[in-house]
Amino acid sequence: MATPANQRAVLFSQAVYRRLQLAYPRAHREAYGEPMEQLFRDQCRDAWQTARTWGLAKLWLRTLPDVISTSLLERFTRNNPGKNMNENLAHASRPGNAASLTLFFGVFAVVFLLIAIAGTAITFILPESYASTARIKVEQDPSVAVRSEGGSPYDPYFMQTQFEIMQSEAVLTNVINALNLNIEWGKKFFDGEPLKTAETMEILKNRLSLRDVRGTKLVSITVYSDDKNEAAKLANAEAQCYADYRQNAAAEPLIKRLAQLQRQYKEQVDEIDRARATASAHLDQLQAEHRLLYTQIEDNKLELQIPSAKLVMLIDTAEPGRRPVRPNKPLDIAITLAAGVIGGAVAGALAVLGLSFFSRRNA
Amino acid sequence: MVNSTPNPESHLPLTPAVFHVLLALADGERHGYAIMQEVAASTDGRIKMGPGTLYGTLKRLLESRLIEESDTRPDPALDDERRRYYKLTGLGEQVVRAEARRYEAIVARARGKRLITKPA
Repeated sequence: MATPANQRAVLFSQAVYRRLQLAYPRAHREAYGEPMEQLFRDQCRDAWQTARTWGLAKLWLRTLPDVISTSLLERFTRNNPGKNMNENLAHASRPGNAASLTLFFGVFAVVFLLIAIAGTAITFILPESYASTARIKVEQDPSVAVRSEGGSPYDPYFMQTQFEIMQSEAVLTNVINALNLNIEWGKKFFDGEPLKTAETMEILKNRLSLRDVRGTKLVSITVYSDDKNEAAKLANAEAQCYADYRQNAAAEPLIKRLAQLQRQYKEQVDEIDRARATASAHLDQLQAEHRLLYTQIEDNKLELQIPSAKLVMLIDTAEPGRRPVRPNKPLDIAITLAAGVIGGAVAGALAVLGLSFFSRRNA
Repeated sequence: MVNSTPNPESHLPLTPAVFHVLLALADGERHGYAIMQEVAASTDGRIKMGPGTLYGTLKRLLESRLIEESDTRPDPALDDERRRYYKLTGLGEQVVRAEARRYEAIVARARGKRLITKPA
């Protein structure tokens, strides 16, 4: 949204440009004056939205040479509809044209005065702008640098790459966040309405100028602002955020490795916990069994200590024998005698029977 | 008197400003501010035409019959109806094609001398 300040600046620029159009031939002004002014107004609006006063100043630095060169060109080119452009333009450089020279100096004087007046007025109207420069020394990361024949790290595109990094979204976003620029510049430029990060970044880029010091590893980071303190803060924040970015980029492989190791460590801890839980369960079971066994042993011991009913009792104790029990001599003699009687009787009977048998046979 | 059979080659080589304006109009009709934005966008902001350069170029292109004003007028609710729209004529299209071919031949010669390489 246009504030009174930007309306004044844009309207003033348009008024100056309208006066500068007097440098063009009347016919050209009548035919194209209005659209040229309209285009310049559009450019003023864009320049103001992009970088406010500094944007307008840059627009004027482009527009003034444009007015001078094209107004002279329009005065010295031959308008010949239907002919090709090259023929028309060739007339402008034809020498020996006295009227053209007079016209040239006349236009030159008018344009010179207009530009001098406009330039002086703009110089006094434009707010002051401060530039603050932070200087940093940029080293290559030895782990990624290509080694030259001499063995020292060398990357021909190193500095160019670093310039791109310094202006990258990754670094500038950190600057914006560190200094809360979306809010601060919203308050400063847009009546308190916070800016989007992309808008703030565009403004910041336009205020940022990077330059390497030839033959050294030094880079100058210059930031322009209408506030000298803000310019210094921006330059220092840019330097710090770039340094942080490089440090983080260098540490990234280590951080990844560390994260991987930590992940492995946690997995091992989990595994140990699981093993410990399993072992604990097994131990509990063994201890339970052990306690049971112990109890049984103790019970048995106790049971053994309790007197129980006697299954065998000693009725008579043994005494030493008074005579040998074997051989039983009286019995043996009696049996022998009986055996003799029986044997004699059987033998006598058999002898009688045998004798009688043989007697009858022989008879 | 307009040449009945205009030769596109007679307009060549084009100045960078003329070529970029014709290229911007190759997509269709545009007004001055849109042409300027298209040229800036297509050159990554390296060419920012001022009003004098743009309308001087448009004037010469109109006189040479390479472009013409279009009857198109924007919807007043959406844009400034005073804006003038321009479009390529048949001759303008032939000229910008001829110039593009000329650049193509130059690029081919430069590649042949290994001054540039084919884009990946």
